[in-house]
Amino acid sequence: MNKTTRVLLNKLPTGVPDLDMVLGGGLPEYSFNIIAGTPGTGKTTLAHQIMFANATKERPALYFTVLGEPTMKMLRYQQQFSFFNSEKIESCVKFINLSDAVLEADLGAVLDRIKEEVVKASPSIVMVDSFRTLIRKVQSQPASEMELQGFVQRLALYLTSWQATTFLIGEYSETEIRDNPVFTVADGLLWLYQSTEGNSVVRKLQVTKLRGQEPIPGLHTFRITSDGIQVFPRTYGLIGTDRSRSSERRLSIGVPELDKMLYGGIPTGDSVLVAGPSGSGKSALATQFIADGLRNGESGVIAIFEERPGTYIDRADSFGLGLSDMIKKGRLKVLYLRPLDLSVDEALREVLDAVKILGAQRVVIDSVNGFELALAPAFRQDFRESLYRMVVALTGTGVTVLTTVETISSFTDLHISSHAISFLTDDILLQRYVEIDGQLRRIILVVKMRGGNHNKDIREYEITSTGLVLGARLQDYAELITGLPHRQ
Amino acid sequence: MYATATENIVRRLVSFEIGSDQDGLIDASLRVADMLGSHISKMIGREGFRSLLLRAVKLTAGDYPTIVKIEILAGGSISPASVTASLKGSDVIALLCNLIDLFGTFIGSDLTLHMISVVWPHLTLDAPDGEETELP
Repeated sequence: MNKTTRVLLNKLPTGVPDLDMVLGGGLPEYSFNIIAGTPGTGKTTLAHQIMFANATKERPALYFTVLGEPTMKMLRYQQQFSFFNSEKIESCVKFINLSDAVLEADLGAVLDRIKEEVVKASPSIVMVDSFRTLIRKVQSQPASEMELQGFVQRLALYLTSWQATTFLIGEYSETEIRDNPVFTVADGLLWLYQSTEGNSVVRKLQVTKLRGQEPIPGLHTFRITSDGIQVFPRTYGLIGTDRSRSSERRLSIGVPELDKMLYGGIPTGDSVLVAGPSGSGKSALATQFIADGLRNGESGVIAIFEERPGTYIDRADSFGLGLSDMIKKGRLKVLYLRPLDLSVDEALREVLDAVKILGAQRVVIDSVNGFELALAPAFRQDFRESLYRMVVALTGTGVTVLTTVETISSFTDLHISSHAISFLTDDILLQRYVEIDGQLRRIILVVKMRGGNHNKDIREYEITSTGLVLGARLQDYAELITGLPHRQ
Repeated sequence: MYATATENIVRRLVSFEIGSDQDGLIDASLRVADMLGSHISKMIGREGFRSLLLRAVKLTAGDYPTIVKIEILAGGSISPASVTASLKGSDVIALLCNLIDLFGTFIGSDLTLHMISVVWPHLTLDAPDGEETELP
């Protein structure tokens, strides 16, 4: 045996999209774990997902049920998930009811029963649901704490010796961590949370402990759908991205005169903010930006949060941009993200997946205000951080991102963004209304270009049947950006 | 009332059991109930299986009143002492049909059939269309 060779921890897949990433690569084989959380957080669903992902005929999974949810009901509800495979029941996944043993016998007899089944099946995965109920039953009897600790220790030792990866599922509270012996013995602790904020429900997961591995710390949102649990790691898209900004190549924004103001267009990989009041043409400019890329053989993604995709695309098509055809050809994806309990991680995941699938070079987020509204209240509290993560993750892939933000229309004040998000962007274009000669007219200016110089003109523009068309510089007026200019 | 397809499955199970030991219809039917019980109790607990069997008795009693004479023991099995001469094979067949239909109601027909096939791995449950299994 080579003395210098360290033992390698084999990692089992969880079967839960992106949970393996959170765990640092998967579940350590032969580990003894706890899945904890209050009722309804998804503990049993997570356990089933892990079980069906790993159970084979040669190395089946044993699911011990103890005085908790009746197995009949559990099978009834769990088979609604797509991961549930009836064909695997009995051959690969065996359910064993321990209720009789728990009610009639002591801890020793329960352990013997578990051992008997483990010896018979030689399982790769063992689940005990609910272990909390088992311990409660034991605690109601005059058993000493040492006896309980001994039981947990022997159970862990035995199941590990039989090369099983074990999960004890239970409704624990965080205050129990210090005093409950099971938390000391456990190698891994997955905590599931569910909270209601406003009318939204937010689910989060935390890997509090995982011996031998480096899980991603912190709370990660997850969603339960008909496919089971899907985790959205909070660092998704941020790890491993290297934003090497190249300002050599510039992309046309789709409006030739505006390209001139940008001294050739937007530097590739930049994050551009288009700010303006309602009706100023932010979305029109955004679609022109995407359409220009499509005309040049690129692909694009538009994430919208306010308008419905049909309306959005119809308006773009009315400018002659032909976005519908591009959607049909698979060159453009329009994501409509508006569930009102969205997490940033979930939105980011959708956009990044679309970018990856299409090989997109341009992304539009229309708008920041709609994005904020789509988030669950809990995520709005740290909205700036959320936007930061989204912009960094997206630009980290090399795409050029155009984000729109609605400004509060005031004729005497100038707010580029109510979210103070301008620091997140490389370039800022500002649109606004001005009153000139008894008419409401529109002006546009380039406020900032991180990559270099830009034209400082304030130009009037109109929204025509072909989109934004820039007019002349308004050089006869002063204080245009106040909205109430006067002739010089 | 149970489904015709369920009755055909039950007939095949009972016929299979008669074939193995040359027992009478009632003995074979009770053995089917016992085999189902011992297997399914492991999964859902003895009390769980007993509850389902009691429910099946209740559902059967409307058309087969004699079935109420059988006693379900604490472990979920049918007391042999309660099986009297007045009990007919058709009573127990109807009980098994209702029991299997109850499984189907809770866990779906796919999983129910799958579990039956685990207990009787050598029995083909799919009979040709319209073909009924004859019982003595």
